[in-house]
Amino acid sequence: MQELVLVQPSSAAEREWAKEAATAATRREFEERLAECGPQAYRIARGVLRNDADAEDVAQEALIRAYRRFDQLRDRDRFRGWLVRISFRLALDRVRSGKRREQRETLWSQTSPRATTEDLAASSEFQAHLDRALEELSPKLRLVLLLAAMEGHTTEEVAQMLAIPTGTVKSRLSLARKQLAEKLRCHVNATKKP
Amino acid sequence: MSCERHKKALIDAALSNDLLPLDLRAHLDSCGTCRAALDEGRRLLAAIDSGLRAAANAPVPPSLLPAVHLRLAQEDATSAKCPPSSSWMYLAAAAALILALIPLLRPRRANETGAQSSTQVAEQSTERASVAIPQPQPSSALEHPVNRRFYPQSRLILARAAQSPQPEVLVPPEERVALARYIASASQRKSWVTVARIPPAEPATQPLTIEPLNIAALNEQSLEELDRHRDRETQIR
Repeated sequence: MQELVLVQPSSAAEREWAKEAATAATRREFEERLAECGPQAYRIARGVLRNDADAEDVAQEALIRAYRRFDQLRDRDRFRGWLVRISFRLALDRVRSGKRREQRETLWSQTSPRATTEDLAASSEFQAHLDRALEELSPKLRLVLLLAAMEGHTTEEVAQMLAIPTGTVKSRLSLARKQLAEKLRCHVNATKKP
Repeated sequence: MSCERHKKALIDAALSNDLLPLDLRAHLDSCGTCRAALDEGRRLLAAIDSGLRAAANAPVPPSLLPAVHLRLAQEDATSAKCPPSSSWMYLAAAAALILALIPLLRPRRANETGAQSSTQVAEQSTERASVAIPQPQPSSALEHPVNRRFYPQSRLILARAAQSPQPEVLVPPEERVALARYIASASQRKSWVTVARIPPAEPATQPLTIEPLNIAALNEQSLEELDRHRDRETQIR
């Protein structure tokens, strides 16, 4: 025994056509933005995770989520900031999952003396300390810091992306850099001591 | 003591490239330690900025965008098979189903034999509808629709179908999407469009004409004549 339902092939086909046309239009529009903003999703994730493979996973997931909810985005001009926030939240979730926390802890505990700050930026050790210090920043500060460092964005552009006032961006940037400097200065001073 | 007083100002000075306050400048002129601390702080911040730029502008792996394009295609294919539906849609469907079933359960109990007559109606309607279907039928349900069992709600559906100008067919629920896709693809072929959209004209029915029968007149004979005729034959023998 099999239950049958009555359908109108022509009207169902018309609905199918309309649906496929709408899907294709959405897909086209999304793909246009994907080429422009896709790298940013990756870089945000990479800035949080410090791991290429994880960042690629998160960026892919962020882009797919953005595609699923693309219809819900009323102002398409805000796509970049919207995608940045999705990618940032997903990256934070990945960090919080703590899968690679142990590895970072190990890296953090390995300290070797450095005499000056000239070659700090080039050293992987400094980068590891910077990663750790970044991780300790609040998410708001970290996101502003990453966006400002990314692709030479101005504070106005960051403010536009995050839909916050320019003054807020400036104050967050200043606070974030100050906190980073304090964290890293302690470390540099400690390593300079004989 | 004087150095401690200027400690916070030194940090602020390192953070910004603005002009230093007069009292701090005066202190730096006389204090080599604080001058060195300021230089160190500025170098540290430069290193931080450099590290941040390096981290924030990492090269994007070339596999990212192709992988996303692939997943988008998969996403579209999945959503075509199983359209996204939220919980309210499930609730609405359940409510509609319950409302549809409530009035239908009662007549079914009252008259179990009614199902048979509804089946006949369904058969007639299915035959009518199947005329307008393109010939290469994708569904097994279209091949032998008469053999299917129909539920009582079919009567309502069929009644609605009879009023509809669109051709309608009976298919299993899980084959609805496949049928719609098939019709969509079939209609893109010009030869099939005609079949799908213009139902064949029904042959004109002519009134039945019955030729008059030529019946020969009966040869009536009375019983007496028959008896006489029989007697004659007997005598001859």
